Amino acid sequence: MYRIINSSPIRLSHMAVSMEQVLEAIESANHKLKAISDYTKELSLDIFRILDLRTLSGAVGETFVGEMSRIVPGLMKNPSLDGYPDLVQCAVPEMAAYFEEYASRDSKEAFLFGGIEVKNTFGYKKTGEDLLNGEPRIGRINRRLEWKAHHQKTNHLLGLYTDYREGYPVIIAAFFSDSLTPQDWSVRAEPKGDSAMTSFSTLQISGFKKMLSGIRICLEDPVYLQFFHQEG
Amino acid sequence: MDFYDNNKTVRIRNFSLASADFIEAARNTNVYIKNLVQVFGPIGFDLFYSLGQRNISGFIGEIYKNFLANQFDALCLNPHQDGRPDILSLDTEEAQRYYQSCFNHVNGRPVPIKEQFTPFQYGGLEVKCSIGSSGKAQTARFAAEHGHPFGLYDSRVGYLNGITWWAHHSSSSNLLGLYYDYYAPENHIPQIIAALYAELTGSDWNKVSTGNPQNKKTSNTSLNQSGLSKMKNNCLFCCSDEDYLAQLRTIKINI
Repeated sequence: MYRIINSSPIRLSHMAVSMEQVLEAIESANHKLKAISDYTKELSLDIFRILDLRTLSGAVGETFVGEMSRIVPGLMKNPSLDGYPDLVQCAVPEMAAYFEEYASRDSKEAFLFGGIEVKNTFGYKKTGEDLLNGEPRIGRINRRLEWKAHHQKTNHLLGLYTDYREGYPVIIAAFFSDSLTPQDWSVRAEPKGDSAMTSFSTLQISGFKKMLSGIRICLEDPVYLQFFHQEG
Repeated sequence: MDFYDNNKTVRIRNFSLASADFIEAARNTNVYIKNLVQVFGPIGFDLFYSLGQRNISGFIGEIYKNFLANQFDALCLNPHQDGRPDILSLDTEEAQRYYQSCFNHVNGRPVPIKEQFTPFQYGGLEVKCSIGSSGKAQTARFAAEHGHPFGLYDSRVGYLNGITWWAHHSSSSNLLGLYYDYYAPENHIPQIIAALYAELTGSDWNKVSTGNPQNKKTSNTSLNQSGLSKMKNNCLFCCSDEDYLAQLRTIKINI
């Protein structure tokens, strides 16, 4: 069970996404993640126990993006792996035509008509905490969630927070802000020579505060509601 | 994919594994990877793109370790994320008793004690995975023939000039070196092609490049000529496709 804390829709220039649609996408994504985990367990190895957390976090985000694209008419998954934003607005024929052209050139440019960027995080472990693979992380992570993006221009951010429950990754909460500025992001860090990371910048405290005040949905569980100051 | 079995035996302390055992784990790994692609495809998640080339080797090694360890009661995955070796040999009651003593119980959970598992005093098997290396000439030839440099899902067979395995330290003693490639007959998904094995000493590794906590660079080292020679002279199995047999012979692997 989830609680819709703020039912204000996500408004784009030509369409709106309701929290009921976001909630449906969360529940559907959770269902898919569980199915993937169960399926791979049947193959004798749970994929989510061997993927590193960064990749798993990406898989959660991609699954959710796919579900949003399926559930919300006029919102399409960005056809480019490196495209921005993750979900693009195709609410009118002009946008749909542009989408076709954009897809055909596998563009890395930002989609002209915007949309919603989706980022997921499991939270960062507190120093000195022992966290075993697949354990719930709540209570052992820092209070500030850190979403990472490839550039400081990221806005219209739908931030997800995921935790393990009964060994499965479960999207716990969703946050949204359309008032993020480049100053809310750290200066982009370039990866070192031997790093597998791509360049990234991290949402700073100012941005986190905007996201926290933009909490939309949270699992109906006092532990998480309390963590996000939503008890009562 | 069919494998050519070199009928070798690997001994870890008093425990023996046949090359056929390593082939079974490779088959299971390859099937598992194929299934993963089928699972993630419908949700539009490109697992290997997300992992990135630098992490794919480790990911394949991780799958292989799980399958190999699960084949034998006497083998167990190292429970510590930084532990070494990767697979522990618990072939005696003494080793099993010691293993049980290597955990702290925190809030009712057994938490592995890092010092006891880095390294584990009863040893085991270190597993490393590599796609091989290409020199300037091979890289330029690939680019000329394909119109782009090596990328994800590009088979490297025919363009290798060597292979080595990397480690964070020079103390590995029982090294299983896996070789994989983006296998064209299976839609270019990564598949294990061959495995080599050697008992190594510290003198079989190059000088360790130290880490830097400022930029998270970890220490690393690779096999030197003596280490590579030991590995190349003990190929456990390899894919029986002619192009792979020819490639492995070209880089002086004794099949």
